[in-house]
Amino acid sequence: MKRFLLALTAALLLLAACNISKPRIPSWDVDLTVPLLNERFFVSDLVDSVNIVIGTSDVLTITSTGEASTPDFGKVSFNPELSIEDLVLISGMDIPFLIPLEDPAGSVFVSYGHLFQGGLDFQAQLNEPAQITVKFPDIKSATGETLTLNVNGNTGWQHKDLADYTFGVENSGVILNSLRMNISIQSLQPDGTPLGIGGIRLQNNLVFDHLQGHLYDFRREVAGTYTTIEIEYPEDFEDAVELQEARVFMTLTNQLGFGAAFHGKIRAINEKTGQERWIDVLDDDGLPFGVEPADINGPKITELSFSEGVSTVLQIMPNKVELVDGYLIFNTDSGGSIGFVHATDRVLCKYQVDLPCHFVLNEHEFTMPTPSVIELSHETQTQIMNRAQSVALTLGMINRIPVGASITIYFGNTESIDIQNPSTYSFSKQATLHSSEYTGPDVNEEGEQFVHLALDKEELRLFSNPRVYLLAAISLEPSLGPVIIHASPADYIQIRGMLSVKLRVSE
Amino acid sequence: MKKQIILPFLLIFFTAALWGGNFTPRSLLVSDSYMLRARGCDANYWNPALLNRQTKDIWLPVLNLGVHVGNNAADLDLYNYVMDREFLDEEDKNHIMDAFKENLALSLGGQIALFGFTTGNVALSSSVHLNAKASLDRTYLKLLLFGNGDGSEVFNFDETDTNLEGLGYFDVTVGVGDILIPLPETVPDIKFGFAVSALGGILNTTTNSFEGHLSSNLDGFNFQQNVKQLAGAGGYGAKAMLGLYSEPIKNLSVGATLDNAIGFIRWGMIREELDISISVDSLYAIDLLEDIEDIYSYEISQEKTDSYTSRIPVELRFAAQYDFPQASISVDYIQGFGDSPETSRQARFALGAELRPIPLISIYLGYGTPTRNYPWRTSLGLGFNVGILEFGMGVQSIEQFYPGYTSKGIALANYFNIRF
Repeated sequence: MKRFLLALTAALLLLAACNISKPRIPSWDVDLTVPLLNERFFVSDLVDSVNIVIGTSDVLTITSTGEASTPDFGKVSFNPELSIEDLVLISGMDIPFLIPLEDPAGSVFVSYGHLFQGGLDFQAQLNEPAQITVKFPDIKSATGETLTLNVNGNTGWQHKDLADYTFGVENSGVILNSLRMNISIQSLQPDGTPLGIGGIRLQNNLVFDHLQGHLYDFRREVAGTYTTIEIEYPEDFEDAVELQEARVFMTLTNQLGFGAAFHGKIRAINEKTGQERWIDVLDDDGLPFGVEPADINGPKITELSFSEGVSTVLQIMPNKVELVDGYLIFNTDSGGSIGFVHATDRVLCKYQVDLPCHFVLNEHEFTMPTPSVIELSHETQTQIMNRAQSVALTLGMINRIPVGASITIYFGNTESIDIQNPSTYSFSKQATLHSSEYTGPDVNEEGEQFVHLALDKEELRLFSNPRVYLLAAISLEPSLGPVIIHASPADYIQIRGMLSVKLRVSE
Repeated sequence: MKKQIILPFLLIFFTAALWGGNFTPRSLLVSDSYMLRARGCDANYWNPALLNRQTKDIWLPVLNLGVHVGNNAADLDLYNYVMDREFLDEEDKNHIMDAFKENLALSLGGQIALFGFTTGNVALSSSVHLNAKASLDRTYLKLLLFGNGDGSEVFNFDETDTNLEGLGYFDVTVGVGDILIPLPETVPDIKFGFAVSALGGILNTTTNSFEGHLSSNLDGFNFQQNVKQLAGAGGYGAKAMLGLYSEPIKNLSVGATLDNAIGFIRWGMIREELDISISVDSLYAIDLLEDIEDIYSYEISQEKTDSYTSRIPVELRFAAQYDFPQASISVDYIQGFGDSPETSRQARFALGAELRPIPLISIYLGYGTPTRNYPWRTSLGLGFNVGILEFGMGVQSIEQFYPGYTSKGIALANYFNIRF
């Protein structure tokens, strides 16, 4: 009995005694797929309403605006250089004279004018005492009184300051080719007795601050301000695209009652490359644009545009555009209508250079000037090294834009990455995004194309460095012909991305 | 480093267990092939026809109890396999996954006898029954070990493989047996008995709905999980058992029982439904830069529900036992008519044997056949019969012939009866 019980107990103990390993968590690898993003990048998001706008037909347009202006037109002056010294003075008679009022240069004809500065000289040489009164009906004082000179006896040349006097009748519409002058002489001598001679000189500049009349070939400079285009074009971008169109719009506001011809140049400068190009502002016939005169209702606005040759100028992808060598030639119109000008009148000019994104893409690779840097903390480096076994990025992209490109990213641990020298970087990865024009096996029925970038364990070792440098080289996919980039809601690149990681799970 | 655990040390304290079935502590020792072995208070739960004037016993509080814990997949061998490895390669992970068929089902429960005694052919007894089952979809383990792969797979979850069930109640049972059915003399005697139980519901929980899916790929991270968990406490109920017993030929006894007739527990005191809904729709990592509250939706509500009834499905048993001079063998056939923490629609057999090399000692052996939700098991027990005292202990091993490295679970039980 005892033996039996002992045997049974021993059997139970043996059967039930188990080895149990010490609890601890082993490590293992798991494959995780984590969705990263699903974003639509609309072309219209590029619009900054300053340098990038949506133009006609929703075309994405690079634009630049600037302003220019003449200075104050200033005062119109001329010197008649008139001298008449043989006027016969006869006692008891009112003698009318006409004094020519002419610009020897033929540029100015006065219908009405307010003198800012000017004067005339008069003298009488008498044989007998006499009282002489000289009236100028076409010259009025500020109060509207006719200019009258009173001469008593022999005098030398007497000067009369004409500042603030006016010539002619305002808005008469008649050119004042001569000034009327009436000389009345009273003396003790019988009427009709010659008493001597008189003279009159207009040999000072007549300076008008308000003029009605005719002007011919009056030139005024246009001083402009340059405008910058704040767009960071990739280096050598000008070699990658051929612009198909560009246009200059100008709006000229003329405060003068005289028409003018606009002369000037649009100059474009790429300060990075030092390239500089310009184009004369001319109409389709190669002639200067005309600027309409103001009328009694106020300034006149003239809008003009031209495109011939502009794209050639902008092909250099300028970052600065300016209006240079601008000037206006004012002329009375061919109908001879009376014009007007005040000393403070100006011609204001606003110009806009539009560069619609309409171009031909050439196969061209351009490299970012400097690499981007990723800084990794020690903790991050450790986690990547200990846990990440491989990493892959999958991108599903829908490109609704007629521009495609291949991008190659060079990874290295030094800043001096030279894509031509493989020893300067660790490895490179390439991805291609075909344009919306592309048809081929890489794009599925939904228009989605996939990119798969993978880093193996060896490549991940690069991330054990505190800094990892990435240099991107972009190669545009050549277009089959000119392409236009629109900025409507249907123009976008949609990117869906997910990260596939083989991750080591451990304590 | 290994350490030794001696399971018999625990046997001192625990006895009888079950896996999704009704039990009393001694029934564990023969893997539930116990219908024709039950006597005294045990017969109240196994076959009240066996209550008779010749067998009287008393259950002492707490000294008849059992606990069980187990699962359908993991065992000590698998545990050691995992813990002994520094790194789990693909083969190792597949080895782990192979152990899990459809889910990881956990079971925990026990029974504690409160009191019991017999007088004449009548027995009065009471016990507490606690059972909990939880099931977790193996897909979760797959995600843990393999991750979500290349993102092409959509992982679905439902209440079939992920759920939580719990049932606790006590009973006060009165049984009457040894009633001879009047039959022609040519027919062997057939005795009839019945037991009626008043049930007091302690707690109940059940997963009403568990629906979810997970995917993570270019379409974003999508996750939805809806859970409806019903919980109740404080209830009342009843059940009845009918039993037949006969010995058609010498040493061969047969019996049949119908358990859980009108079995129910109505939960009315506390009854709540917890509704949890978590949803993440098309989430991308870049979205995490935004306000996180906009990224997911999370709703949790707890509402009082109407009173509800937990049905205890009817269970039919047939058994036969043959007695030898120093041994007995038995076979039980169990067929439930519904699934519950205590019953199963799937039929199973239980085989049992008792060896009595000497009158003082009983050695119990048992084997239970498997079903889809009921793994096969063996049991081994040792009993002592010292005068009016009967006491013993036993252990049940799930999916291994003895408790060891490949056991999916273990049940421990003890019994202590005063029989006179």
